[in-house]
Amino acid sequence: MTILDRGPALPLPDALSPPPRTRRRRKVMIATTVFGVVIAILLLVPLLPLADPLTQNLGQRQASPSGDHWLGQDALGRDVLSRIMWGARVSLLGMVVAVGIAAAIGLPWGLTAGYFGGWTDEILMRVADGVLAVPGVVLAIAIVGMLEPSLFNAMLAIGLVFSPTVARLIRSEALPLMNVDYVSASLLSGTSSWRAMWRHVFPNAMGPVIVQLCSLASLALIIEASLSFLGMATQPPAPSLGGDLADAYLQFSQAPLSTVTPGLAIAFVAFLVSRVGDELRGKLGIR
Amino acid sequence: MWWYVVKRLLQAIPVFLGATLIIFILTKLRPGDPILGLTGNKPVSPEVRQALRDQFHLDDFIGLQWLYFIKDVVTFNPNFVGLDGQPIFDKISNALPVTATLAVMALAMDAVIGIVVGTIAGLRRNGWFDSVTLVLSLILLSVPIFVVGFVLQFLLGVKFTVFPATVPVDWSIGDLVLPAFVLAIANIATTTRLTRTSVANNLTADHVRTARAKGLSGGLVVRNHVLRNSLVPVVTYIGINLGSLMAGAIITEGIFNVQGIGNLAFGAVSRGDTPLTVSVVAVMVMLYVMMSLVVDLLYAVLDPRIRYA
Repeated sequence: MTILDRGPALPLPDALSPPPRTRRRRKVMIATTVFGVVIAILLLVPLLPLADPLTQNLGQRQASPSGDHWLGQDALGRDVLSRIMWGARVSLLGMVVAVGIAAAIGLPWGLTAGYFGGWTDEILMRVADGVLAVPGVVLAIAIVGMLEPSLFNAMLAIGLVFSPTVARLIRSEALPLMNVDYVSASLLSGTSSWRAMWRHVFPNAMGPVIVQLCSLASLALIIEASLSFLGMATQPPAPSLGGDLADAYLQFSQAPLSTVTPGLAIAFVAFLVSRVGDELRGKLGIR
Repeated sequence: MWWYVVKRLLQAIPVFLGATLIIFILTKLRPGDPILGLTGNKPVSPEVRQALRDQFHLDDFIGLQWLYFIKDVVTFNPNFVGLDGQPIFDKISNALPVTATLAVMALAMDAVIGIVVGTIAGLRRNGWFDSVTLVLSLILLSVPIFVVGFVLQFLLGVKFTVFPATVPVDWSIGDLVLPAFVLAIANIATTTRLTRTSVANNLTADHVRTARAKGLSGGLVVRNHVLRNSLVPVVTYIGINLGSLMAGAIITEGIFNVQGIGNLAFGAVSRGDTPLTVSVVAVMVMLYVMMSLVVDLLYAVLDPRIRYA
């Protein structure tokens, strides 16, 4: 018995045979296409033949699904499908705002820290540590409490909470690019530091950040729903997935469907956004 | 090693001060009269109003108010009270044990389930178990904690009464199993994905190939060479997560009526009770800083290449 025969062989993944390129591309297209269709439907909600999400019908409280109301009616007799569609539309818009704010604050913050280094880096990263040390939900609630509960303020809060995460990631991606030849050449040719930072460092550091922003978008949806659930985001009677969930929670044992459907809607959109992020990770070759 | 610990603790001071200052300013900027908050919106005489303003240093510059607050926190002042006149440290010491137990139980579930499932998925990459694990973990990450919370509460607490539906004031560890699992679910999904990726990447590493060439059994290779190196990023995530578990406890504690730090924090922030809010956040920040340090020190245990001067 040779030394190599001892013990069962460990199954090693075949790193040299990735799935065929066509199959991977088709997967990307499926995730992206479905997400595109969802966005298109939600943008067209005002044109769809849906019941008014605010119209109450107390004679039809907790009514089961029917031809007129495909997902039934809630505790106030409002159409559940209509409220989900309008609520998801609001959530998606909020998600874009939150991620936009996180990127608008986090990218300059992290790039400046990584590019200039020294005391600039030290101070900016200690500020990031300070923000990250406060639990995100607590910080978001405190920001909303300071402003007043509304969807935009909730999204502003979520964007502010996420910004140090974006800052830290772009900084870690920018640091190795500081001494790369093309950046040095650009500076030697008389380009200003700020221009070199945005023109050369920023585009080359963005790959992992784009993937991270997809993860944050998915998380933003869930946190927005959580804040609505706590009464800190979209205010009643406006449709919101989290707010409707909070209302339905009280009637869960009598009408589980009216609780489960907004929950599934949040999960479905968040799942799609995460899938797009995963596909992007594969496409950009990020581990 | 000790010098590293001291250095890290010194670095934690500005983080602690910065975090408390951020929350302090945010709660101070809330609209409304703090005196009316103190008196439950009842009118008060100018003398009483002034006495309360003096007691809470409300006429001082905001930076000075914060320094008074820091002094009270650092010295554990027993006369340090919230807007309701109750001693803050009594409230925190009553609420902290249940939340700490909840968070540690959730952390344990996260570590055990996440690492075991993630390791199996990583060892059998691209197999059916791996595919199911990846999809399931993504679904769990997508479902809000409160949806999972009240579905499980209804099914396991109300319908089949496997666990108590809500946590009583005189709680025991058994009462916290369901809320701890709900709290851990999203983290289990992330830990699973992280472990799976880390294990799968380490399987193709040179040191693993060398260990196999030396004739070590599959189990030994996995335990000593694959897992040990794979756990560095996983331990980082799990350790740092204690803080986010405390924050996630706000919703979980609300659903299961747990009288812990999460409930205390939400009530304090909602009421604009600055002293209580900032004190609770101070506790959370201290935990975050300590866990960061513990995680960094664990690196050296897991990876012999990492040494602290």
